[in-house]
Amino acid sequence: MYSADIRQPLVTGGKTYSDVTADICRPIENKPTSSWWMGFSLGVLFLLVLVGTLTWTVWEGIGTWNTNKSVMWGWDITNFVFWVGIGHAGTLISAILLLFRQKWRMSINRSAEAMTIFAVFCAAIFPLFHMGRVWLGFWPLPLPNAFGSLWVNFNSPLLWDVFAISTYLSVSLVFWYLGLIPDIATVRDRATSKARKFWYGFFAMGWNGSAKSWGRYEVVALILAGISTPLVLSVHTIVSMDFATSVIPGWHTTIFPPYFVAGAIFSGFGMVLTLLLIARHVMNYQDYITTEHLEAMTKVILLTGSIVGVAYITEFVIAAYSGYEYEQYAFANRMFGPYAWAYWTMMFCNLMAPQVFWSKWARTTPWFIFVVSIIVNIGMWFERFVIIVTSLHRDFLPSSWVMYHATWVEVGIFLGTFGLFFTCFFLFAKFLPVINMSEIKTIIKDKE
Amino acid sequence: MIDKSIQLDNRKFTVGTFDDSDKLLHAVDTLREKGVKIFDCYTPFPVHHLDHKLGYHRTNLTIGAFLCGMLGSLTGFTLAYYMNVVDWPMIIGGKPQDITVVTSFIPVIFELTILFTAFGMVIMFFARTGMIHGIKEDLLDRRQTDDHMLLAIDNAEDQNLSNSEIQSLLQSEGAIEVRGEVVPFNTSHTMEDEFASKEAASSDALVDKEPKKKFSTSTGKKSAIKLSESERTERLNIIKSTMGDAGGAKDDLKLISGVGPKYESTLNEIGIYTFDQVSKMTPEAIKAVEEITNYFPGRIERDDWISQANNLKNK
Repeated sequence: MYSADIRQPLVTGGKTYSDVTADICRPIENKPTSSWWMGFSLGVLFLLVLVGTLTWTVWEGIGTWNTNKSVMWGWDITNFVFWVGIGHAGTLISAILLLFRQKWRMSINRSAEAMTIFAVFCAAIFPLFHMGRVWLGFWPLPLPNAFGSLWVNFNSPLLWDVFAISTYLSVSLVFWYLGLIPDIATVRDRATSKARKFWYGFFAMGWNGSAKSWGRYEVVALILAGISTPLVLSVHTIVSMDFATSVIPGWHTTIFPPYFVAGAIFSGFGMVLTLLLIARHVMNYQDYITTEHLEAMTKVILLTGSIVGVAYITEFVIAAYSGYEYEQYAFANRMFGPYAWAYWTMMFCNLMAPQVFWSKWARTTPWFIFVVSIIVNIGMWFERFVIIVTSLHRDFLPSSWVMYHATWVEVGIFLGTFGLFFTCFFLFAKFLPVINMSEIKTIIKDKE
Repeated sequence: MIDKSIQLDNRKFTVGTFDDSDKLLHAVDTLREKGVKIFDCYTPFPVHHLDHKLGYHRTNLTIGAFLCGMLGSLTGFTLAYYMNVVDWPMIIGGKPQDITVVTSFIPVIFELTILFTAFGMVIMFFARTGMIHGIKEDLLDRRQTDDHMLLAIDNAEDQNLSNSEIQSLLQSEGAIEVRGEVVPFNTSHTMEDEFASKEAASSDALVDKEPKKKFSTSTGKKSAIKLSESERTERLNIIKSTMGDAGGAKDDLKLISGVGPKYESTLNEIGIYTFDQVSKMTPEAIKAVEEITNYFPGRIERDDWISQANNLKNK
């Protein structure tokens, strides 16, 4: 049996197999609690904001946003990169940590993967509506069309993005669903109502846990993890190429792919921590998501936060060293220009704040981690804002310099995507096991 | 010889139930050393090395996955090359649009490789395992997806040990329960019976942590007509005339999928004891049985008791 002496037990409370099943099936089999209803209603409220602001955008036109000829990417693409980045933690936890045999991932991978999927939904909204004519949103697909023989441009990072994001979404969904099948079967076999028996039976696809199927299942999961790892790295690499392949000062750097990937994992873990700290408190999962798990996650935050910090400084040094005045100006403008407040917010949130996790106390105190995780979320949003807006608003030609501030519609859409995200998450927490029971059961006896 | 789909058809199994994966692994070793052919094991979580100990070969799905990935690469390349080089060369900045431009197709080729690998492999996995939406699960124990680990032996298989020897072997390996003639069932049959039998069989409750839920009587029962005494006698006569008398014989009716201990005694009360009797049921008699015992309407036909009973009778 597996035993890692440097770690505390991964599941505390001396749980038996049937305890695990009962604990994790409890939210599914009982009426939702009042805190669930509260969170869910709040989510739906913000979802309505999303529906309202998007409808207004389509009805009135893209002019309801303040993006303009200089700052053609504003809050929308900032939010797009923000949400895609958040998704990355889920795949990192379920794929990369599986390859590294990090068993602590088992309590959190299910919810982190769910988060990936919902975050990518949120992300996809922005480029789609940024096109203006949403009903022509299928144009980036390589389809024969009625405008002569013009095809999509395979040299463009924006098209790569279409392929990367859609592959990422569909592969994540498959990976998530595959992981859910044995647990759905468990819920099916405990079901007492006809509807539940039917639906869980339908999605369990007849799973009965035979050794032969488990053998195949584990190989499939391993290969999926193996291919998801380069996938997740490629997705944010390609997102960063949306910027890096252009000639805009502040964007045109080769450091972008690794820097964006580290930033994505950093922001993703920030969001995972925010969500799990709430979930573990509301659902009483302290035995499954222990401070040991929290500590491991804060270490990832510390690592990726430091990578991001080094990238900020490198970027600056290279700009100063380049002798290229536009690049030098872009960075001076970030630090001391009209958007300096955004830059310093970013520096504080991403470079300084995570450094508190060098202290053991900070890594193991849930409320404190929660605060820092919120700071990280804010910081990573500002990072994208700084990169996009400060680089665009003063480009090579001073006559086209402008200032950009979001309208209420843009703010509304952003807040609305949180509504979509949380609505999906609350529904997930009600109807599906938020912790991977079949994986947890393999480790509860490990300490013996 | 045996198809390793998750569907078990109408085989009958000798099943040893374990509550510890190490004991299960040891039992598999011992049984295989003695030359006993094991059908399969059923566990709520992946037990490491179990598939090797059972003598299963590593799956070939990885080869399939590789081929799917190759197909994905080829698709990505063909798509981009045909569209941007052959059909409509898009000249940007006067750069040549020929084979050298393939470097900028790599991201798309890469993404499609991953996409095809993932979907191809998962679809192959489902096909190979026999999983599809909507099929009925074949279970040997309701808790095999919760905390019971099962070792199943197909009773139809020729073994060099007798069934009772195998059973005692399982017992000595620490099985918490050994059952001789288990017919696969699915959870859509009478839940109430299942739970009743479970509670009777083991003192440890299904859900230890919570107060046990009262399992509400299902809709079939609520809508059942309350029969008057004369109606009851009338239906009993129908049953007696079509299904005949047991003549003192008694079969284990629990082997019929859909019958638990509680319902068995109900059937005994109205004079049904043997498979022979069940196999003679006419639609009229089925209706009478359903009405008199408040059984789920239509379930007897859906679970096909008659052919089940015929099979059991001829064993």
